[in-house]
Amino acid sequence: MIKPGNNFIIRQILHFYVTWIVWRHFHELKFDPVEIAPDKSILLIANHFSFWDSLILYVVCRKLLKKKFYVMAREDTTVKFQYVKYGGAFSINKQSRDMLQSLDYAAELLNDPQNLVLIFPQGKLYSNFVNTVQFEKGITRIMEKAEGKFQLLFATTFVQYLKHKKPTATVYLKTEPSFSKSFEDLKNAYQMHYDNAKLQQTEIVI
Amino acid sequence: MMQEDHLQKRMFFRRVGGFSINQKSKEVVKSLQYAAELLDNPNNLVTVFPQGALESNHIDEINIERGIDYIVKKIKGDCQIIYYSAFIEYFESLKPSVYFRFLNCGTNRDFDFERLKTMINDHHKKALKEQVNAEH
Repeated sequence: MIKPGNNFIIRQILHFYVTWIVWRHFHELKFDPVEIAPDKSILLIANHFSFWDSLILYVVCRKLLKKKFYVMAREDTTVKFQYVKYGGAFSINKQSRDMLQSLDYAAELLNDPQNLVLIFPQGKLYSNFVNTVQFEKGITRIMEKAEGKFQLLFATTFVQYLKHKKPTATVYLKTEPSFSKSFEDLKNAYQMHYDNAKLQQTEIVI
Repeated sequence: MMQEDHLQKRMFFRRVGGFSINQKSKEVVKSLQYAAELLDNPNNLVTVFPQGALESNHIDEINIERGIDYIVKKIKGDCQIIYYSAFIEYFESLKPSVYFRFLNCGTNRDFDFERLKTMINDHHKKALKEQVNAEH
């Protein structure tokens, strides 16, 4: 398992770089404010359709949520792009026994109210046009281990161009109050949020 | 064929083939007529967005305005009708890719508006399904 790198200078450089490329690539980054509990960490669950979504959510985290950003990433990605670990990425490999270690590490991070852990429960890249969001089981282990320590937050991102040359990313955020849920409940709760977000997204006409 | 207010903001598009349509004006017939005239010439290609508005890339129902019916019936020459669904996605790349999925809708000789509507909507739904399973 690859743990996040702890180098203040590289982290700062990455911070400016990510903020800059998101600013440059997108016409606009839209999100609505949500209530954040100051005494709890955040477990952020999001849909995964490109490399951009971690970068988008990093910017949302810094602008709105004001926590220290961590993200669970596939091992092959973390190996290929070594520097992402300085931005808070830690690896998981579904095929290895290390997997439990990664999940426990995510739970450990959630014990600190300063932290935010971003997880893509889909476990790999899917199209931005899917109707149902796949969930891998690992997420429940993290939630059980860190129960009561974190606030659960759902994010659904869609990217569209409409009338601008540059794309607009819209992030739909929702806090989910009761989180001691079974795997099925969690999946359904996220799916409801996703459907709702998609409906709002498709109602745009220019 | 472009919405008039969109074209007015970007007049240089006229130089590369843009012409306007305004659904709310009486001139709407003129624009449709003009499109039909262009299509009389087999060397031309006219792009028409039958939705008549910019709609989200995530919709699964394509709304088709009657204008296309008017255009096709006015064409005097021979003309092939092609529809495509385009989806923009990123996946592993920071630059987006566009996925085009084409559909042959026949010619102006055997045109039927209702049939075109169902054909396009069936195709779009199929294209969305294929998109979800697209290789990347």
